[in-house]
Amino acid sequence: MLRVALSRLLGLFGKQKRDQELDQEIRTHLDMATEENLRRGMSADEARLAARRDFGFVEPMKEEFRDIRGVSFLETTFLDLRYAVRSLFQNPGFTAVVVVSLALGIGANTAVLKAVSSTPFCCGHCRTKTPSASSSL
Amino acid sequence: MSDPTTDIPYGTLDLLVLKTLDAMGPLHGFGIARRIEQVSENLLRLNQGSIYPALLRLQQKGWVKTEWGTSDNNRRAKFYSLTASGKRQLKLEVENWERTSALVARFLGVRS
Repeated sequence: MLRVALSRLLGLFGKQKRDQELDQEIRTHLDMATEENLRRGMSADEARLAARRDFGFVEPMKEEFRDIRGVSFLETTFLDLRYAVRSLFQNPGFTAVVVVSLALGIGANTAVLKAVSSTPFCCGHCRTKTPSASSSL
Repeated sequence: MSDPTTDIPYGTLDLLVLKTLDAMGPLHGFGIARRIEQVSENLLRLNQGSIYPALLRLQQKGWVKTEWGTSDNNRRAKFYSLTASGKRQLKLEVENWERTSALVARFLGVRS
């Protein structure tokens, strides 16, 4: 289990090199298959086609390969984050609204909590639960 | 009309690959695929490409290791071979498989 996790983590590095390696492996495979078909007496076109047919679909296989390597999950998360930051910069009005409402929301929440926790309305446990809020008063 | 060829039973490709490497020694991907096809005498429908994800899984588990080398006709190719723990795993999987198939055979052999 640990070994699999580790090799997936390592799979994040040298992605390009590994993709190239897989591509070369597929090319070598198809070349070898074509050669064998030629030896069996197929024409050049037939031999190449048969090699591809026996190999099956290349792209879904590569996709599966990447999934196993574990690149996809972290890679797509990273891409999502980058996309999020980029769109925030592209739309400053929206960003400002979001930032201001978050700030107001959090600020109001904190202010009310502080106010309440300093009055006798507050039961004992809410004071003990927010020690930083009450001690800073 | 029934088709005499069959797809690889789910989960057995790993076993076939391990056994092939055990029997043949270091081999490249194409060699493994062809060997599996030859042993099955074309009764098996194998997408040759599907052995690469299987080989990667086996590598991640530490049962198979790789090395770049040159093939018979001087092509640079990645060669796969069994590790010590791969050999142990193969033994385990063979035992499992034999137990399972003996069990199923026993049920199928029952006459009513």
